[in-house]
Amino acid sequence: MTQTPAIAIAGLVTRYGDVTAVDHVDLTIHRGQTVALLGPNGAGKSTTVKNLLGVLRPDDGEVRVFGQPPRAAIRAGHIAAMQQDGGLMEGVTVRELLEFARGLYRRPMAPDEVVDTAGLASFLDRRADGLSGGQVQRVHFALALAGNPDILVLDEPTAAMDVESRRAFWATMRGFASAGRTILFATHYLEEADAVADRVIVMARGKVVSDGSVTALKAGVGVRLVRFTIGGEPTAGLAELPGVQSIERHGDSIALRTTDAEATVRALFATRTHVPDLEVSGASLEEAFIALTA
Amino acid sequence: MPGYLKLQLLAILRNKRYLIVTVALPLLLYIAITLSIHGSDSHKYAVAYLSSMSVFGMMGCVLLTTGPAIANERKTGWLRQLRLMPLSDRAVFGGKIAAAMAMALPALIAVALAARFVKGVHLGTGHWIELVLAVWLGAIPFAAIGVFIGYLLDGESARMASALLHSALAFLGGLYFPVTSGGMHTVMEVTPSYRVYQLGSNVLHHQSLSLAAIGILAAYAVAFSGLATMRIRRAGGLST
Repeated sequence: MTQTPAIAIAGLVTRYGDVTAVDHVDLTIHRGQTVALLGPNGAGKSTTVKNLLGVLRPDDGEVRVFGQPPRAAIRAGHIAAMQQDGGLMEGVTVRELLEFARGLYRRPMAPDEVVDTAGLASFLDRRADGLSGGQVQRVHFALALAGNPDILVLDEPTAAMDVESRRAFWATMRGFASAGRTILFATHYLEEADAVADRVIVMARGKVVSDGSVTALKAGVGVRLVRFTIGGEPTAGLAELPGVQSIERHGDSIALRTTDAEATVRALFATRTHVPDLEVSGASLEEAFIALTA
Repeated sequence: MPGYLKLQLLAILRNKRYLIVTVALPLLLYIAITLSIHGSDSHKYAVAYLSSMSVFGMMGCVLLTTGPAIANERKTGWLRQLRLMPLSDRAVFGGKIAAAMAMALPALIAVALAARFVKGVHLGTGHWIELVLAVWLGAIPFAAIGVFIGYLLDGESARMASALLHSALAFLGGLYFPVTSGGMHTVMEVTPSYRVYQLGSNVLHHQSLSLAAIGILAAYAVAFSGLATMRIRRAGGLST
């Protein structure tokens, strides 16, 4: 496709003093994708997001949102970020906040659409400073929706949520994304990236270390788990089998992490007469993640 | 920016505590001070304290609310939310100054009304408007100082600093009682509080406005606007 990418980051570098937080990152994100930016703390996710929103200016490289610099894209309503924590203005109602936010854009989203999408109807005329945590978050979402953005950016959106609110949150986000819009979210929750994203970009130490679908990410690492029931038998020699990187024992069961499952299983049968409950599985996302970012 | 200003005005009008404290205090003080003076001097003091209590009230409305409110908004994260929206640093600064200016007006009008209807001070309508306008425009440097404090200090410190500054400027500026001694007089002449009072007195006594007063007030306004904008920029880069 020759259409302008939703997000184009080229050679992005951000330094904090001597520390290079983002080290030559290139990213292209097309319209309609839900993309997870995954990585441990300090990987450079938030710094990348700040550059994308024009909060930070790159020390080197370029960030374009639909071909425009970030602040211009925010003004035009192409991209919006949703704040994850913090309160709202005191002394005004949710409706007034919404009206203010819509007034900042040339082509705002229709009021009813904002109210429906963010689920504000039941507390639209309440004071913004007297809302529950969940309601505040919906207002933050509504403020992000006000400019009718094509791209929504979320930095650690569910960090402070319990399981139930997390589920409700992502259900709302899926509604937003289903209209062909783009969501980019930074997270260090692997399950979340796995469950929600079409594409997972893994960052570590300021660089992109993997980029692809969740399945590709797991497969690309090439790690498999070989499990069987070992009972009380000793584990000596297992770690030396071909392909095995490490072994883990959980009670009667043992798991061999291997880069060559076939060779490992062949060697297992060559050295043992019984290999009960044998099971070969792909690595979990977490294992792939550890392999990538370690 | 008009949208942001409107939002701030809505919040101010609903803040009853603000209205009570910042409007009632200078009003009651003015009435109490002038009622306690009897005899032939009574009317003279009613006029003299009209200007000083207007300035006192204006300073209170601006200083006691602006800094603490901004510090609070930084703490709650509302100002971070604004950074995510298409609102420039300049628009945020402008909105805060405009809100501070709006804060100042009710107290000025209240003191003027008390002077007219409680103390029987008679000025022409145009003259009243000139007086209120002179002190109101003199609020600009205080608004900038308030915004600067709000972005410089957190919560309780911002409240303390604002209250201290309000009292100090009222005292040093000679708003409680006239300053005559040499050293204190020199200090008084560089306070913005005295200089606004001076503009008010100029208007009251049909004098032309003191250029020194206008110059000093403008210098305060420019200096603190610059400092405040610098802080706003820094706050944006660091906290979002």
